[in-house]
Amino acid sequence: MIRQPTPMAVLYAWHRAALAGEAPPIHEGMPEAGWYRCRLTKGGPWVPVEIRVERVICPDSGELLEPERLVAICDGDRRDPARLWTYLTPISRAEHADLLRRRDLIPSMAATLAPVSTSTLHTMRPR
Amino acid sequence: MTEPDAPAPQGHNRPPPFDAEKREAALTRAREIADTAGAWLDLSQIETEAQSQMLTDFVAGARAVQKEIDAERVAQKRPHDDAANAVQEAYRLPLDILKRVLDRAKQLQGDWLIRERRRLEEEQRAARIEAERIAAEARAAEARSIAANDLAGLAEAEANRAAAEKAEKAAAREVKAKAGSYTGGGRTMSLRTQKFAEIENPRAVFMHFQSDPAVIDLLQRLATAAIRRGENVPGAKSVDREVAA
Repeated sequence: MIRQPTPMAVLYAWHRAALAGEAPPIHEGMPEAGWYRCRLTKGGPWVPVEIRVERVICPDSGELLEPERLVAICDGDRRDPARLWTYLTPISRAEHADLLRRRDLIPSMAATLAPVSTSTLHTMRPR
Repeated sequence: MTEPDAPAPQGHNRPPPFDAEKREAALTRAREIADTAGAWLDLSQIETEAQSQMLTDFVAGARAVQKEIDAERVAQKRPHDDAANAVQEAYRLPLDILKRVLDRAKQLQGDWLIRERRRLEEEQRAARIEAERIAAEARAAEARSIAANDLAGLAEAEANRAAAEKAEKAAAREVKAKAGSYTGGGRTMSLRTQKFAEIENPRAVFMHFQSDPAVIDLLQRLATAAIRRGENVPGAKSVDREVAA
């Protein structure tokens, strides 16, 4: 069966609409590609999540050799995006990149499965 | 059986907050005086001057014991009061510093949130104007398509009208300026509107609250103090009450 890869504009349409404030519908178990953040525990630090499509494309015909699948990269781990989907808040790509850097700068953000200890936040200085 | 060298359990060296023996002695004295008072109350009223004089002496004696026991109470409480005051004084400075820090930080944040809210309101206003313009254009295009029996144009105009309605709905949403947490741990801050009363007409405000028990209490206190000073208070009269003292 001939299958064309889904265009990027279509893949990221939901994310674009969400960032534009259009409040597109969220359906459980039906994730959309884009950049997000979530907490892995109550009171925990922000964790960057990217949902992207993985596909194998024939170099000659440009057609899909396998079905496309979405995968979530959360805290450096590959996860099932359908399980995380309803906990995600869409953010821009720039904010996602900043969040990845922020985790290296702020030690209290490294423990993603523990609540952020507010007694350590007093050392936060303007940047 | 505990070993002879085992350390004592935590909290063992904590004496009771007051001297229990003195307190028992005070209680015994109070009960004795209550017994004697019972004998006085068995007389339903004082019949003779001698009884009245004896009652005077009994009251003087009871007052003296009350004064002694109260002095004992104050003496026993003093070390605790001193310790409590010392703790309050010791923590006053760090808490004062933190209060100033938080007040200034909240001022800084408030200023930012007000500017941000103005910016968002301005954007919302511009979006609303644009949405109204697009909606008007869509309605005009639809009317033209209907008049010209242009089905393709009509379909396009209807799609544009739907998009315009969506834009109008988005532009009508309430905007709120928020300051989120950088790490995820801090609570989101936003502007809160607190209402305060600014009194323009004190007499009218007083008339509104004149039946409030708190206002009546205050007036009673002020009037009683003024009358005792010999002043004349309009709306109040001096009433004499007799009490034995």
